[in-house]
Amino acid sequence: MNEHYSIPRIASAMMSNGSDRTLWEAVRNGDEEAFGKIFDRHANRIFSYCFQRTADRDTAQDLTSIVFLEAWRRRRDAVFAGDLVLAWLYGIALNVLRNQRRSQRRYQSALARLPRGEVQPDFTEEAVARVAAEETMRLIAGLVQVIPERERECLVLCTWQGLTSSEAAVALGVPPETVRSRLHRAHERLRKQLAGAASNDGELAAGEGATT
Amino acid sequence: MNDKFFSPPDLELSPSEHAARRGHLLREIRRAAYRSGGGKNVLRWRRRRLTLVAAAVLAMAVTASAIGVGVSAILEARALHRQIAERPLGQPVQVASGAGWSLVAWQSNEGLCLDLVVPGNGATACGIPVVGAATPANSYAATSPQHEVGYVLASGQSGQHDLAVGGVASADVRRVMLTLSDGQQIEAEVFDAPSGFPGSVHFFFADVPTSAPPGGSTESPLRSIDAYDESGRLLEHFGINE
Repeated sequence: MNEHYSIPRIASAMMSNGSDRTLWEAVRNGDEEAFGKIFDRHANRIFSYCFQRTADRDTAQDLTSIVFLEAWRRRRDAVFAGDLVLAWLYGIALNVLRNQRRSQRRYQSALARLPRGEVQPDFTEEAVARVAAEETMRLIAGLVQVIPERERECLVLCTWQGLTSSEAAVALGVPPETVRSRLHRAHERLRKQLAGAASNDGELAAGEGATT
Repeated sequence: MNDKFFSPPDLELSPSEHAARRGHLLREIRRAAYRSGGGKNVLRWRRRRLTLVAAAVLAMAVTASAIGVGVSAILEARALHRQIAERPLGQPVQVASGAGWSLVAWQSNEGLCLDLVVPGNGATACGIPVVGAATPANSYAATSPQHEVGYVLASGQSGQHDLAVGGVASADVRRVMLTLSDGQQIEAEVFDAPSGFPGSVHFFFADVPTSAPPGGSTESPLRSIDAYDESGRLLEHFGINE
């Protein structure tokens, strides 16, 4: 089921200087530059995931930093899906999000050392787009709340982030078959929800038409 | 409109954001390494020393054979991590463990810290405001409302632990019941603190099996934690997502 929606974005994190697995051998031995290359490859995916879970661009950036600080701390425990470490990073992100408030407080001093001046300010057009994206994400996040958490995690990872069921299984710590069945249920619930919303809109429109 | 739900906004970091975050990340890592005494050689030495500490902890543990997750790895990580986040005030101690999981605790300048480790993953929380946790004065935990229980959640990557919950409870707590977001109740296993551990607390752990029905509509898979004393009296109903 998920393969139908799968977007081969992970392939876009393709290797220019060796596989993740090769790089991670250096990371495991404390090579910061190798870790920087891992950040280059996967930071955008983790940021996107954090944004889709929080609907807040600034928070998502801080959480991305925390995920990579945690990944460095746990680098000896890395798990690979094929040659990619990305699924494991999603797993860390999942736990950081679950413990979000405490994670942010824990890394407060580290985040405070981020030189905000290095980030160029948004141009007006970009700022408008950013606000629109956050509003859209908040709307979507509100509507998918009807989906139970475990199914929603599969929806976000597979449908929104483009992971395969095997990759999502690594992130979530469940068998791939479990991911597939949860994803199927999530899609069914979402379709029903959307159909219900469309039906209500139709009835509302019809009702409005009758009164005018 | 429906497409939005299957393909929501997919943002990327701007080049300047990416560069700033990357630089910050590497500086934090190096800062930790250098402040802990020098370059890689010092860290390597520190690992050896910490591994010896871990070995001593393991030797003292009665349930040494039950230890499933490498404590030495946690201790090694802690040496590097200590300059990034809170400042430890004591050595991390494995306070409970089982098949494929380990709960490690230590005191920090922010209050009690818990590290729940499951295969390939884990989660950490610091400054947990629990009654009897020997919390340093003026720490985050000391200045927060006190509770009978505190917890941390982690997903594993072995298929063994879909969701693991580890926590700390006051000395009076003898029974901990977790209520999941779908209403299902799971009793956590409660452990005495190892002798010599600062304060007077218990620890608990629960494994939410993969066969459990999916949760409800709330963000956290946990709805609440109920803490009971020896006589079965409810000491605290800790609401999480209600």
